[in-house]
Amino acid sequence: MSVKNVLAVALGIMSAIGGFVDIGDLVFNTQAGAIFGFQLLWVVVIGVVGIIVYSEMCGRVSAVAKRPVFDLVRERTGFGAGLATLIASEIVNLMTCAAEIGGVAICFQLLSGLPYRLLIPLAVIGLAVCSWVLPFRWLERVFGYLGLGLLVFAVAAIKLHPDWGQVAHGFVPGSHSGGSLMVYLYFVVGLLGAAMTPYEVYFYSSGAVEDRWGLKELRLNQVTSIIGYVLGGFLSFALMIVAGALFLPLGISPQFLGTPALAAEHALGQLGLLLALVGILFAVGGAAIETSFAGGYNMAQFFGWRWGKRERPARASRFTLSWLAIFALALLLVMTGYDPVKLTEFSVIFSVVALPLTYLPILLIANDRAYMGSNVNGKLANVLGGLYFLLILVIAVVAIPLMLLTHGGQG
Amino acid sequence: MNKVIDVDIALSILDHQLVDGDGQNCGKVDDLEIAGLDTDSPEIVEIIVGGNAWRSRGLLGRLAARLSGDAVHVPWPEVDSVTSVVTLKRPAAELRLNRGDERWAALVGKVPGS
Amino acid sequence: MRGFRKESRLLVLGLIVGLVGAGCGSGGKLGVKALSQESKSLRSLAAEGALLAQDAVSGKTTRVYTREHSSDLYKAASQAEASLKTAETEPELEPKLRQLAVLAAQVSADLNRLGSASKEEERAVGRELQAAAKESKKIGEGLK
Repeated sequence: MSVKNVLAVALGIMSAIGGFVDIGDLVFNTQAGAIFGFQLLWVVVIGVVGIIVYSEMCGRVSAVAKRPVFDLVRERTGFGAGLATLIASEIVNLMTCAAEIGGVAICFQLLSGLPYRLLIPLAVIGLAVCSWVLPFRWLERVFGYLGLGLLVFAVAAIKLHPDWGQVAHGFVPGSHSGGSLMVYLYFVVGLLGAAMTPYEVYFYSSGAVEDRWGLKELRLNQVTSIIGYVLGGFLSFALMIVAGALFLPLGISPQFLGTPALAAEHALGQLGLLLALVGILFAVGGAAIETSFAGGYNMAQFFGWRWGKRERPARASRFTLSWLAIFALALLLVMTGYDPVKLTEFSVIFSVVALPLTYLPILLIANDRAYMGSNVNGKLANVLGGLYFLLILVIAVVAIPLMLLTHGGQG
Repeated sequence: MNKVIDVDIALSILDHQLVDGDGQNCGKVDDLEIAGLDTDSPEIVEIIVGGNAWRSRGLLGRLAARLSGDAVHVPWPEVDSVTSVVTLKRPAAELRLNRGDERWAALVGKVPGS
Repeated sequence: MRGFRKESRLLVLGLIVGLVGAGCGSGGKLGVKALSQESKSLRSLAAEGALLAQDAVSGKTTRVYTREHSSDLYKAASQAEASLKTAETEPELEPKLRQLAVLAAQVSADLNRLGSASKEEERAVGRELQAAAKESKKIGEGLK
């Protein structure tokens, strides 16, 4: 591998790490740790493997067919099914974008002391300007790298001296002491949903075409997705371990986004606090951009419009207006003042419900020789893809009942 | 491109991407006008794109059709080749495609850097 | 694929059920479970406030963060205080309810002070909140 390749891989991994954690991961991993300690760590592993499997498929489709997965959904599954997938993913994109924007505003508030209501439109304007001005690769890099401030949680996890024996036990599903079975299962569903977000794979797929990946980049695709998401998974572990080590013994139930930051500052002082807040801000802000773009990509690719950051905004004007519209609608949703943490919980649960609809086309297209030629799914991809699809079906069905039964994990 | 075509092949390009002579996206094959379905040699007369082409696509299609303007009719001889995408011979503008982007370009163009 | 239409109908149904379910509150008298929940969330707010106060004393936080985060905690605590003041419960649980209401008022006042406190005040608030957290935990355990 040449120096250029190694650099490209390293850069890709870094932005994947910073880009993996979004507000859903923050909320669910922290809450799960505060209630169940380390007992749900095994779920994060399953979630990380799941997104690796499907995002590898998405990247491969983009590199071989030279078109993103969503672009192929309508022609592969038909107008009606394609439209259903579009509507479902746009609703989820919108809710998720709103939750992420709320998160950005809160981080700004905790850093600056300015009022939350004022910071919401400022956050949206800032994100929209970044999206407008920065080229695609710069967007990924800037938000991905600055999101690496989250690594402070990994350091904090170590500094808090958790019982590492207990931590190890958490990687094997076992007891659910500390909460009822229903609450435990709710968090299993929520953690999987937070890890396997559909917007992530659709954005990845369109991004691969924006970056003009070809067959040569297939290996790069596999390496960056695996390493990037695994390291991102470690960040999720860190969040859960920190919560389990600090919040659980004190009986603190994290209701605010500022609460994880409290753990970072407790372990590492002011520097820890600032790194945590900046890391959260950019990780969550990057996710807001990804969701709005995923929304734009999906609209444009369903209707066959010109799309892409490499087009001048006025030339692909309908695509441009689509992602701007997602930001605008998300802004309205956040301005209603609805608690961003609750909004996050809803968006994750609803994205779980939409998961089968959004993941099935990926599996179908990655197996279609008309698009993939000899690069169709191998046995491993299909076994894993199929198993995960069954899992997704199960959690999609139980997600809303569990949310209602447990009052959103409150028991 | 041969006008006389198997109806199955015709239907197989439904919902596929249209690409113009410059390689630009210009919509999807939203509907097809096929003549002579009851004869031995049905022909694709034209491709219908956008607007009220979605009338025949169920409830949501009808709703979408009502919100859109007139569809664009692309005569079959304009088609250059058919693979997984349908490639046309001429640029989109000459065929009155991608008018949507032109319509909104004025608004988007007001922002600097567009 | 025809199957998708069923999926989308299920999704819409789920959305409606979810929204309705989320909107439904729980009016009426507070039972043992509800009171236990209240004690848990009060304990959480007090403990988090105590942690924040102690870290503020040892210089681990920034002024802005202490002010903003304690303000968020205060808002939640004063909501709890308000709802406990007007809540009703079974006669045998009355004393516990009153205890919690008083505690909630204390916690709320302390969190309010924390926002603009001097180092000495932060220390005092931290101690009080820690005691309140312990008290809340005791009440909760007594309810089981």
